[in-house]
Amino acid sequence: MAFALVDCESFYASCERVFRPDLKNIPIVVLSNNDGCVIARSTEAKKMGIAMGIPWFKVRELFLKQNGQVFSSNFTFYGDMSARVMNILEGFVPRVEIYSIDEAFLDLDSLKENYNLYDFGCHIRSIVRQWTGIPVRIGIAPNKTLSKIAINEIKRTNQPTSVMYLSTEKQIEEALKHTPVHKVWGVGRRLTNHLNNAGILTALDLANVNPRNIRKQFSVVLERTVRELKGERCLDLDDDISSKKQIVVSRSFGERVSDLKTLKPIVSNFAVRAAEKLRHERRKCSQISVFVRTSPFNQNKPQHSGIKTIELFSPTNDTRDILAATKKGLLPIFKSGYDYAKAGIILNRFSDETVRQQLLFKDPDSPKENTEFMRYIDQMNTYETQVYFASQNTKKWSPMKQNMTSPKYTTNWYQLPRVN
Amino acid sequence: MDFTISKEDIVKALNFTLGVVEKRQTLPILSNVLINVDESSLKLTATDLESEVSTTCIITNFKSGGLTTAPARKLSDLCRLLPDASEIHFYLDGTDLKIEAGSGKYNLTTLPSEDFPKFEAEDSLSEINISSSNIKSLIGSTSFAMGNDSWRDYLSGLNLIVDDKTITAVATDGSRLAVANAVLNEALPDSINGIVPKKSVNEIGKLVSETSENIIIKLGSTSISVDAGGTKFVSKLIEGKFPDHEQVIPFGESSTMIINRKDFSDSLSRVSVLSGGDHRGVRFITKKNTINISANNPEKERGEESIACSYDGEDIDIAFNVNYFQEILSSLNSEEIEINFFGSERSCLITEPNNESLKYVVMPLLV
Repeated sequence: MAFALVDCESFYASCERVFRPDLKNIPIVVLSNNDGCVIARSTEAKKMGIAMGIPWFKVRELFLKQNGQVFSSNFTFYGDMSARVMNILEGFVPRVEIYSIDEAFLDLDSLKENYNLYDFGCHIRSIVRQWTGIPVRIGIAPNKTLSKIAINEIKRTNQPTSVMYLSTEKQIEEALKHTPVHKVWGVGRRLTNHLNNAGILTALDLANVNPRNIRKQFSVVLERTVRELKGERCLDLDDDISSKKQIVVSRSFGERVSDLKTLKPIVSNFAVRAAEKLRHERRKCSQISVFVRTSPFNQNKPQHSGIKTIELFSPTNDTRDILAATKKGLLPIFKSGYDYAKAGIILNRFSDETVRQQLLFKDPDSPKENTEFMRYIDQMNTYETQVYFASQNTKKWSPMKQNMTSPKYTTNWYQLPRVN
Repeated sequence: MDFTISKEDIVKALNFTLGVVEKRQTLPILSNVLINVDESSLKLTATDLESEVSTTCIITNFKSGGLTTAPARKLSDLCRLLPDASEIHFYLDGTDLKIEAGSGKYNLTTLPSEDFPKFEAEDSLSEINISSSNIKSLIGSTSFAMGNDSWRDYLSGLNLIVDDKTITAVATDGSRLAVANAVLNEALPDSINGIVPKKSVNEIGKLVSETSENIIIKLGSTSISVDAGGTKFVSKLIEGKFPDHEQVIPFGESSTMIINRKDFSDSLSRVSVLSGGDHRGVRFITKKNTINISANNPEKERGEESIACSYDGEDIDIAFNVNYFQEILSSLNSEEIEINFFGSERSCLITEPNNESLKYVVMPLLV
């Protein structure tokens, strides 16, 4: 049978358009944290030649002169819109792999034989569009790698329905012929150079290589890719939520921070966010690292970076434990006299939330273990009530420079879109 | 320095020192071995600043003595690879240590012996006289339970407690406990205890396995030294208070199971193939004269076996980390073992029937 890859079109830009119909056909770019670089572009902005990752100051004048619309990144909003899209997709088939914020694989094996997959794709597309306002492309193919190729084909051929089903050998061969090898899923820049030197320029060239030789010369990973390009199915859906091994919350600051009084609440905010993510994953951690560093681009200033890892005897996902460990980690690495540009929290050594190894001796730092309490806080914060912990930064001050953020339309009662 | 020594003697001596030499040391000299030659013998010393080993061997030909240091691993590899029964000629030429055997000529760079760190030995040490088999058995039956976490240092070592004519070794990682007792050859007037670091426990284990003579262990408040067959090992002890193990050994009314050790271990090995998750959990359900062992994993695969045993206690449903059980079972030698259950959320006590000198406590998983 088949897999479908659902890919949200210019996702961040599309989110910004959902509550701003006036932005239809207007070029849109979304900037990275601190408004440094372009990280998302609408089709119109792409046509203007705005490159991905280009520093904003380089294209600012040209872009605004042509009536382009720019936004600071609003990840709370994009994350919520993504969850809505994924939620809808999970209603169509039993097995869905959320691959990234704007992509998901659907296992279509559960559908009846002779089901019209192309029509099914069109149906999914129209429902997602109608219920969320987000346009999606849907590539359907016998395996994951080819479904990615199908998405490329939609873009290349400018497919009006934005749905493509690669079902016959001829269709697959045609698509592979037009896909440069660097656009094949899992083929990076270095690998592309090696393959090009060996005369492999397109996905079709790669598909025609003997997979056994590929394993010998490259790796079993690339052999899987080759086999998938030939139509075999090597990769299954990864719908195991326990696969995450690490949670990192870090930010570069828009303004440099040189005193502990300012830094502590910022790092506490990261710890609170990391703990929320951990509970969302239904995991506990027993290793918490805190890091700080100055800007490596500012060589005139003294440089310092430090990382401190705190091990916990008993795993926890309680924000209070993670905050206590964060404080313990931050104090020894902070040095006065340095302009810190970035800080972050890394959670490691995960264990299952539901299974706990009992201890022989009482743990003096035993976790709070009040799961209900944390669930209550999480629920309140979902609706932007914002219950803060004492060490957090409660003011609207943000370590990031973001001047062009759109409202959190869907997650904050006070920022709901108004209809006049 | 100019002397000759047989390959077998120097290789054996270097092997004793290699365990102490750090693979990734902070000071270059710590990767070197101190070579001290006098008229009759060669003394090799290695240190990692936390412990020191020195061993002496007889030389076959002496021209001049002296002191130097040379890279331990290179020296060991070189000597080991020379033909058997070679006579190896060593001499110093400036700062190079020249080595000649047969037609082979090699030279190693040295570092000055004055820079080799001196290990500060403690003066007042209590002397413990114990048979090598007893100390081997103490280490073998407990050391696997030592903790791995560097942050709670005192658990990453073996606690030795000496009282009168008994020595007790205790190891725990916080979730399981191993306790073993042995009898000393001579009673000690004062009781004493110390936590020996994991690496040193392993080195002492290697050292005592080479001899069948009585061993003299000197235990002080900050260090331990062990003398065996011409080799002396000294180590700092871990600072800190080892938790009171007596209070966590369960007692009172329990349900006792006697089970064949090999059958139980084999069943656990098979079932645990399908045990997943972070804690490698296996579930035990006890009924009259039978124990049901089961495990499953996130892929929803499942294994289950029932084995016969002697059991007349209450029905218990309990889960454990399978590794904890397997390590205990493989350190025991008896045909049967005794497991005492104290309820499904409490620790269990594992012993050999009619052997009071070995006790293992394992905490269950809460699911």
